[in-house]
Amino acid sequence: MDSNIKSVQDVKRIVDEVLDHAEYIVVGQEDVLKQVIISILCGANALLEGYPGLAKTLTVNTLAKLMNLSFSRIQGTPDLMPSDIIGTYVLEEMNGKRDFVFQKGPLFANMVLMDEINRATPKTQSALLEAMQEKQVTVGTQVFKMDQPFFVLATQNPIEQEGTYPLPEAQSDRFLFKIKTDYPSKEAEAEILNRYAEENRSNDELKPLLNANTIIQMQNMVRKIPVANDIKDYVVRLVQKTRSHKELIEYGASPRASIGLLMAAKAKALIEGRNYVSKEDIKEMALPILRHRIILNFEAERNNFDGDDVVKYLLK
Amino acid sequence: MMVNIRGDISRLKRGLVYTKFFDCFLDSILISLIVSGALLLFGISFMYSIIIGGGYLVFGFLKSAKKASLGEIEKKIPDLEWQLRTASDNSERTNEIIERLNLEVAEKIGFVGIYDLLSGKRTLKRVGGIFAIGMLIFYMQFSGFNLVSAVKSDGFDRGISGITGLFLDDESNTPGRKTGDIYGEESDINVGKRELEFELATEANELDLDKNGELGEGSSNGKKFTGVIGGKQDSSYSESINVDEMEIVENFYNNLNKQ
Repeated sequence: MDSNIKSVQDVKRIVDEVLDHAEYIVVGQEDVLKQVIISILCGANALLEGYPGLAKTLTVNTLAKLMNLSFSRIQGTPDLMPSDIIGTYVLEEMNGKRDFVFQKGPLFANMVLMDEINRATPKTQSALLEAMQEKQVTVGTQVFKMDQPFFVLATQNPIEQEGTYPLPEAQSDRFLFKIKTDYPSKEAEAEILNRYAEENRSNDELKPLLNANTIIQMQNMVRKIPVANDIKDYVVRLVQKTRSHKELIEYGASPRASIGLLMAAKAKALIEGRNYVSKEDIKEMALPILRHRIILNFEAERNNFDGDDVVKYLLK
Repeated sequence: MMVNIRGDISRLKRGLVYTKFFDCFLDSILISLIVSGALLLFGISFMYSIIIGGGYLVFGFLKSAKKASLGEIEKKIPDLEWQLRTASDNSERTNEIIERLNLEVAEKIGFVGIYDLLSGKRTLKRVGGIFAIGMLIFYMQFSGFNLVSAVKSDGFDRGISGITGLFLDDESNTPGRKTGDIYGEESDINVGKRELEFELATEANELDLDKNGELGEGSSNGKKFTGVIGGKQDSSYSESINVDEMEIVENFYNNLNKQ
């Protein structure tokens, strides 16, 4: 484990190593792995969306293993209650005295995998909001701070809509990234067969490469990456465009999107070993950051446009 | 190690301004030559083209110097793309990453010369253009090629030179003034090599052709004519000199009479 980080090159070396090890388990999802790492470096949450069997859960599990963070997995179901994830007060007897003691739920971990988040009820989904944004949980009158680093990585699949509760806009906005997992290429799929039909690779073979301190150090470095004023202008103009193109967009992205976009671009520059942000970084990060933050109008939907199409149009 | 990134960037920006001046200078020469070529075709002075070129140099340079930006330098030196602007915009902040960036940028700036800021192809094209147009003008000037006569009268008995455009006091260039040459005025030479056909009027002859008879000795520079010389004015003769050419003939006779 390397916690001696002095320069952007050190970060690049560590992240490259993590990616190498993760790709031992996860095949054909390099971009997804990178985006999840960027999200972690930004201290933000990410939503992975894709069809079943595209290694969404495996990706998060693998990274958790490599990062040696306390990890918990919550399966989203319609009967999942907020207390099931946050925790609850239980009556305990100590020294002959009976008292209510807060029993922490699975949310109290560094890395929380909320699998199939859209299967949980809106009430339970909302229970995540405070933890995701403010890194704390309020139960009754007591406030519990989450351990640092803390981030929620949630998954959902876009095809099974029956018995699901689509995430409300306010909650979607709290996910820095909406990462779309796509089918692997022909070569990657052939490699998946080799690795899992002939060999039997498992997460258990992986050894931790990072720890919480290293991640916090890297998160601090992200904020230190300098940005040119032209880049900031570009980010502002891009996000403002989502509000001004009324012919396609009903509601545009919030300033949280601007902050997220710049932070993600900084993190991307950092893991690539650069101490400056380029316009290309912004363009590359715009899609996963803006696609779930814009609400298309009827006209755009009638023309079968989705968030990606509109963001690509705005980037032109 | 701290570096004076502001100083380095200012130096680089100054270099860009110099190259912009050089570019504008070449452009202004090119414009002057093109304009003077066009003016020469119409026999107008090239001095006007110098004024136009000079104007372009001043205003073009001021405009492009205002536009000089670090982004432009980055375009010319892709190795510094975004780094230069980032270092410049964050020169007042300090942390280990910015210091490292400043160091890298300063190091790269050290390898940048004025020639890196010049657009080699464009400069070469300009110089080629200047040379080609210059040669063309040189040829035009010395071959006397123009669409309109290079020398015109300004209506005040002064000549205007097609080359300099200045009012010349040189009499040789002034139409209407005699040069004292038997061939008439220099300007008349420009009429060309056309053959003129004219007949001499008999009134100007000293011989009295109405008299018939034997000529005495000495009347014909020592030559003795035998026989009778007779002469008779052709009653059908009439002078057929063009009005335009009348002046030439008149000059010829005037000079002849003087001698």
